[in-house]
Amino acid sequence: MLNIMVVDDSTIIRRMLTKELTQMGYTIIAEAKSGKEAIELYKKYLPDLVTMDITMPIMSGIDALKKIRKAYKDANIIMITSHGEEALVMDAIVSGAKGYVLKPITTVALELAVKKIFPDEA
Amino acid sequence: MKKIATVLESIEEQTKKFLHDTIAIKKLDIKMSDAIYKNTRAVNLSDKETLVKIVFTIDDALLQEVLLKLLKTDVDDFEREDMFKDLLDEVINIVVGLSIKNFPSPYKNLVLSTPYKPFKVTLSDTLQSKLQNFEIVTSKGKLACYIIIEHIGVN
Repeated sequence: MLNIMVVDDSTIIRRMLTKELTQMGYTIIAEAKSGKEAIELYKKYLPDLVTMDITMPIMSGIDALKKIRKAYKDANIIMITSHGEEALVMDAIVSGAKGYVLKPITTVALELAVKKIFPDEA
Repeated sequence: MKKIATVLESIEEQTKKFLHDTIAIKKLDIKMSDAIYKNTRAVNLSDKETLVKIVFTIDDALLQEVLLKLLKTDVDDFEREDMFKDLLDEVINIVVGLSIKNFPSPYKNLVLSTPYKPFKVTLSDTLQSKLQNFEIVTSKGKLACYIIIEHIGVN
C-alpha cells in the first residue's frame, strides 16, 4: 500500500486530494502547507509518493521538489497545477517531477498519474 | 477596449464551462451586474506596463454548491468561512488559468498573481468606468466577475 504525502497551501485542495487518494486505497501519511514544511515532513516520513502544489507561500512547490530530489534522487513527486502555469510544469518535469495533474482535479486524472508511476498498486 | 472585452468573454466562457461541466449546474443566465456578494476575491494580471484586476464575487449558496460538488461532502460550520475563501481562490485560479490561453495580446503574456481580498473602496471607485463585467445567475446562486484596468502604460 502506498504512503502518500499531500502538499498544498489550500485546505480544500488538501482535503479533496486526501479524500480521493484514500478512496483509491492509498494511505495519506502526511500533509504539508508549504514547500518548507514538505521538505521537513519528507525527511520524517519518507513517503512513497508526494502530490505537490506548484504555487505556495514561503517556498514554492518547484523549489521543494528540487531540494527533495537533490537529497532523495528516487523521490516520486507529482505536481498539482493550474492551467497557465505550463512553463512551471516544464521546469518541474526537468527537475525530476514524475508527472502532473491539472486543476480542476478529477479522480481519473489523479489515478492515472499515480498508476503511471506505480502501475501495480491498489 | 475591444481587447478587454475579449478577455472578459474568455473568462465568462471558462466560468460557464466550470459551473456547467465540473459543478453540473445546467441552467446559467448571463447579465450585466453591479452586485458585490459576501465572498469576494481578486487576482492581478500584470507586467511592467499593464495591470488588470479580475474580481470574482459569489454568494454563499453557489459557493456551498461548488464546495459540495468538489469535496463531495459538507464541512463543519466553524471551518466554512476559511473553506469558502480557499474554494473561491481555487475557482479563480482554475477559471482565469484556463482563460489566459484565449486572451489577446498583450494580456496573454501577463503574469497571474495569487488571489487576494480586494478593498471595497477600490471596487466602488472603479465601478463607473474602465470596467467590464458579467453576472451568472443559476438555480443554485449567483456569481459576478469584474475586470478593472487600474493602470496601463507606465512610462
